[in-house]
Amino acid sequence: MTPTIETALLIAGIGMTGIFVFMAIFYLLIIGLDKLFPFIAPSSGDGEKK
Amino acid sequence: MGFEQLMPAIAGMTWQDLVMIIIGLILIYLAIAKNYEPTLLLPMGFGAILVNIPLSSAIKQIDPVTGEAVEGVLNVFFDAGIATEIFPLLIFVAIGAMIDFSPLFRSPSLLLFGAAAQFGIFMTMVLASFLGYDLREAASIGIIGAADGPTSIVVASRFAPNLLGPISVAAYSYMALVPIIQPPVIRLLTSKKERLIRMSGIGHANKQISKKALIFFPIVVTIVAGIIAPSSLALIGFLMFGNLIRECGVLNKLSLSAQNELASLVTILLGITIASTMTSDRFVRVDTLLIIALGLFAFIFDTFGGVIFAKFLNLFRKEGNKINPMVGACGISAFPMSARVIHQMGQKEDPYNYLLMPAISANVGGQIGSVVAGGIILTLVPLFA
Repeated sequence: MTPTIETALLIAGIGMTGIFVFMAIFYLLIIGLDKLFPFIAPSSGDGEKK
Repeated sequence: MGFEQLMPAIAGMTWQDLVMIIIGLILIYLAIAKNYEPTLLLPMGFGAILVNIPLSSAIKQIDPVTGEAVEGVLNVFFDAGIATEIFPLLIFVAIGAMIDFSPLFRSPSLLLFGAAAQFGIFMTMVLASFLGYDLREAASIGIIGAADGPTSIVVASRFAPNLLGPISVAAYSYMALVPIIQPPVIRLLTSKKERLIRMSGIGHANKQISKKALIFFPIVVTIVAGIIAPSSLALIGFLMFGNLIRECGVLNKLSLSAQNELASLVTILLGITIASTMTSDRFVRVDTLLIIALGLFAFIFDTFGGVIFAKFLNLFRKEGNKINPMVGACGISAFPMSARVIHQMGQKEDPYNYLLMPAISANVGGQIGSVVAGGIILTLVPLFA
């Protein structure tokens, strides 16, 4: 196995792990943002009058 | 006066130039008759004709005053727009303005398929290095598997500008061929029972997402990505900038301009400028065929990665909550083509199985995943090469 192939394999390992780490962080960000800013349905005009 | 002086273009024409002109015509045919990525393949096809007519002034011109050879317009465009990465990054602003991230908020776990389906990039990089390419070239060839034209162009223009032509042609051609490439690979890897899995238990198809969450998402992603991998910031940052313009709600005119005028203008320039690298001396080589074959390998292994990852997750999921492995294949960036293909495959197996929503979520994840993969390659390769 040449040093180039070895390095390519190493980059492949680090790279795939890195992408999963990034995506896991983005997953947590989405969960966090969704919790922090939940959708609130606009209240109807009738409700305010009551 | 001899024939060479009268008709220098014909006299200087080589068989390699003719091959390239035929390739240009084929690309134009595919764009018009088959509708394969016409926005890019047509300018590239026309550009290939433009640069392969001997003595083309699009490549080199003679200054009428000094009589010296100066760069032609396509080389000027290349130096200004591709070598500096301006064109692909502007395309990212346009793509960002087109992406709606709300499907990810409805099924965030499907984001992970955007990682799994980048497997082909790295497998191809290893294979290319096995075939004798140096690390930078191998990474540039592997990035065809990002299924994302601008990312391929950014990486290739930085690491292997000599291979930019074939890499761009392969990237855009295979993106158009997703409906032909993915289904047989998926059928080979999945059983009929798996293809029938319904995903009604995953995500919330009708969930409303708050505007604030959608506004904060591109900002926070940019900051986090920038802190972890600053080299990826140009790619991710421009994509997220475009998305912020879309979501902020106060720049509707700019958002529409980015999605339409900016995308159209830069695409015209990008396509024809890439063609400046498609000269016969660079393109008519065994290398080109090899790169095109490796691109196909990358797309096949992207699909493999996504499907196998879904099957792996299913080992830990309860009955009724399993993922249809076909959805894993949508983790590639070809949006929305891949999601549409998977939805149609699902409907073919069971007309009442609606996979479109989860497929779209995974596909949006793939759009982020491909950019992250590009950023990671831009960060890692210089450390080792």
